[in-house]
Amino acid sequence: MNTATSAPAPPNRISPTKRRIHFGRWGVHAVLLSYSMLALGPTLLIIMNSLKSRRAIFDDAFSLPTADTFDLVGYDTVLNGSSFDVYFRNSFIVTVASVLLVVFFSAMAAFALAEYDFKGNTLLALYLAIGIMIPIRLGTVSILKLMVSLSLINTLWALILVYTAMGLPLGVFLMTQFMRQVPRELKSAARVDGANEYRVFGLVLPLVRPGMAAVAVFTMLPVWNDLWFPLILAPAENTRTVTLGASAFLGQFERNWNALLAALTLAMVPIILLYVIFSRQFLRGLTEGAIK
Amino acid sequence: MVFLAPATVIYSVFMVYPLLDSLRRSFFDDDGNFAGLDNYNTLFGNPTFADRFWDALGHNFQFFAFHMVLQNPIGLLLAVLLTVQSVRGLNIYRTIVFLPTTLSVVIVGFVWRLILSPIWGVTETLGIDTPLLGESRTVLPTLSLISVWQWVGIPMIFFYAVLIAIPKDLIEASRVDGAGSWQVFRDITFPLILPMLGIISILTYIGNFNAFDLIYQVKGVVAGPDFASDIMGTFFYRTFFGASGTTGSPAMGATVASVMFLIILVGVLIYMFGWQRRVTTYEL
Amino acid sequence: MSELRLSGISKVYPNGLRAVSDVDMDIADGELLVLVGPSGCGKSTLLRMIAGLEDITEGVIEIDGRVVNAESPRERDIAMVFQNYALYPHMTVRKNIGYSLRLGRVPKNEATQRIEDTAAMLELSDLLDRKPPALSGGQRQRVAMGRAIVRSPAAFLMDEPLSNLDARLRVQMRAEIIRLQRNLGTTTVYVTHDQVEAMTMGSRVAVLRDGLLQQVDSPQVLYDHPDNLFVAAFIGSPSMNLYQGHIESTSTAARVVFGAHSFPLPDQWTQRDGSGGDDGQEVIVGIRPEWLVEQTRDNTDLPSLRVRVELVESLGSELVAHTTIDAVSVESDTPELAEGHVADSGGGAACLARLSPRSRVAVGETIELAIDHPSVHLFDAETERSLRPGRDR
Ligand SMILES: Nc1ncnc2c1ncn2[C@@H]1O[C@H](COP(=O)(O)OP(=O)(O)O)[C@@H](O)[C@H]1O
Ligand SMILES: [Mg+2]
Repeated sequence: MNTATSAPAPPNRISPTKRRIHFGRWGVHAVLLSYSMLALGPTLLIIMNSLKSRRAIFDDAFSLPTADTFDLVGYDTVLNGSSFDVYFRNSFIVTVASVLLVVFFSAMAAFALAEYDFKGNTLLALYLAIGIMIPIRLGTVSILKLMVSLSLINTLWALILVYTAMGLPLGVFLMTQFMRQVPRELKSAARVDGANEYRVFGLVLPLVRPGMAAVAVFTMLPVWNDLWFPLILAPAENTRTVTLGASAFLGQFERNWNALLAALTLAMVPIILLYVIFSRQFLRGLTEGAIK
Repeated sequence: MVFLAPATVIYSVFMVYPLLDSLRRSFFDDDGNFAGLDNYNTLFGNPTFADRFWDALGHNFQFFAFHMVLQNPIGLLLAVLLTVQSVRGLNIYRTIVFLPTTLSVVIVGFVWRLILSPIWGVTETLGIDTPLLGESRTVLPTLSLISVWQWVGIPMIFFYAVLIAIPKDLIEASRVDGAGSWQVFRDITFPLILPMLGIISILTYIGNFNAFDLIYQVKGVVAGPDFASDIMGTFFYRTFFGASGTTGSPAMGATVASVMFLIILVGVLIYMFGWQRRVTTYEL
Repeated sequence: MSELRLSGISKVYPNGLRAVSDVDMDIADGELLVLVGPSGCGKSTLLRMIAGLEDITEGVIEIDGRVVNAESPRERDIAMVFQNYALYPHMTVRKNIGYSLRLGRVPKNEATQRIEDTAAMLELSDLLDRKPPALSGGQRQRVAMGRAIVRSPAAFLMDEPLSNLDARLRVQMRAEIIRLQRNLGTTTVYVTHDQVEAMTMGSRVAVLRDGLLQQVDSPQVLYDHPDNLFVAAFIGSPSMNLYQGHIESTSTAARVVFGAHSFPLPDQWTQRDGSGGDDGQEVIVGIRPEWLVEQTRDNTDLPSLRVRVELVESLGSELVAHTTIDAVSVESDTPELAEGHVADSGGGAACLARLSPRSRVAVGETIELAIDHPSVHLFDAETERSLRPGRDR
């Protein structure tokens, strides 16, 4: 074979790869760093200015608070006479309850769908999956009527039930994918050992932990951040979630910038801290769910 | 089936039933009398409704276009950069880029409202002198950008997930075959993430036609100025509950919801039959 | 065609792991060199440095005298076959094979011709329009080969290309690769962790351990004259029996003693000056299982071992006897090498013997086995280097 002539001669450029690689790395950092600044900037600007006096906020928004300009007057205003603690509690209850219900119920349903071959298995799976594509908000008119007739308006239960229904379709779908990966032998072995179906389910649960984490993450975000249903189903002062509470609360301080900035900071910082602490688990859950 | 009961019951009662009931209500008036297509005639025939509806629909498509053109490509770009091997500190960037996505829309809306407020003057420092959220010409693009800023983490993390699932040796094989970075992306990576592009597009579509919170938070239900930022979500809310002078109508609300349902359905069908049929997903 | 030269190649990964240390190696034009070693010893790392997929920490790689350290894979003109084949799942076989030609802007007609020639050579002609998911393991492997061959590159690099095939197919493909490589005459570096594969394929075999090159020689030399304990234990199947022993020498003769056994060293040992053969020197004695034969009336002059038969495996063509011997065996620190050894059971060390199928050994018997080989292997217990006489190192 005459290779000298037929070899796909690579262009004989003398550009040293080393330099190109370094430029590449440098470029990657540059782009990511700029975007990170864009992502963080607004948040930092708010937090930074919440610690400054009114004059300093307007004189030079981009400078850090100094001894001269440091001022906590905004926090004073906000912390006196707000019910953020109640809002946080409500949000927490609603989110945790919905996430737990979604995770547990979808695990159960997915176990049945993945495990048993019964008539209508596929049909039921399809029925449950339709909800992934259709936003529950379109049923708001009837949901409101339904909640009124169940006397659940202005209760956290209304939110929990709606969010559970909202999270289930995706939850069941994801969990079914994860359940399918559990080796059949394992379940068979347990049955041979005399375990009843509940025990088999209990045995399988720990094996699909990554799946449960993924479902939890996917359920959590839209629930915690939702404004629509709290606004419509539970707008009362004592059932407001943080999102709705902050929305209404911030509205009161239209002109008081110190208070606005302080309130925003108070609403953001806990979430950011929680996120940063759990970001690895959180993003892993998202990543694992995304490829299913 | 004990295992299936809780999920099926809650889903049926609080999601499927309301959706179907909502559809039904669109054929009845507010007093529960059968009204045939009257509500639809009102929606499309009565200028007070029709004008607003077509405006909102148009705005919503613009809103969607912004996300498709900016959010998803930026998400893809970031994901690709985040999977470049041999660069350190990528996890930190990943965490930071996703951060806005974890903040609630209320916070995001307010943060940007303050920053873009002409009163504060931050924008002036940056060389922008129009009140971006105050003028009809700029309000929708600005809100779209804010939304893109917040949600870009979602396509990023989804693309990231498929990108890290591509076996490293496929990429290496193509490099040995003589492909440069761009060719690797064009010939190998991109075809393999194409299915995900479809999924992200349809999710964006559904999400955008379901959007409400950001506009409500920043511009209120009337979606000003002069309805320039009105989209289907805010239009639905106003029709249902009424706002500033108009009274709401559950029946009309249900009608709007049914039309939105149809719009989303069309999108989903296009995705399923126009896209999914043609794009194969490869087991890696 | 091309000649590869590695000088002082080292790789330190960013996490500080030193995967390859100071490897010098010349691969002649048209040669098939097999790189073998237990998994994790740095074979892939070395190969990937040659391919340009991994930065070279230290040292120089030359292709035909041209230093390629800074060149990207596309500039090195090297083809690689991956363990998992790394076929592009979304491309047909034709496109998989032709991808490098497309990137190299080979004219369409010529590319088509070359793809078809390659496919014919590998009996893939009927499969050209299929996609990889629709191929069997063996077919995928051929496509991977085709992708490398079609380019007529300066060199082939193959990283355990057969390890995902079943045993029968593996043997068949081995022969096929040897044939192709001969016909094409393309310089090839072939990586495997399987020493049998290495011995059957390579004109020369390089043994790597923990990133350090142990010995590069023809299969026969590696087998007959391992430079050190590692190579001795790694090459050969079942692997060599190794025992702790020492040398007892007087002015006239020298004996090697291990456990209850001892036999005279051939003359050449005693004549050796310097380190070997000192009285009391700690050594490791190596005896290949295939050197052992049943003692008969004809071979009473050979040194013999007294062993107790624990288990007999009859393989038809031969008979492998697992026995125990009164000695202390050398524990191999590489788990892969330990397989095949019977754990020391009560009375002594394991000793494997490959005997003639006609042997009448019975489990439970104590028998005498003769060592039918001019000399056992001796290694310095400390340095683990061979005490082989007559060859200066
Ligand atoms: N990218 C990497 N970063 C850090 N260590 C690595 C990397 N790749 C391989 N290693 C380590 O280097 C050693 C050699 O690996 P490798 O060359 O793959 O071995 P082999 O191919 O011989 O099995 C192993 O210990 C492995 O864990
Ligand atoms: Mg390897």
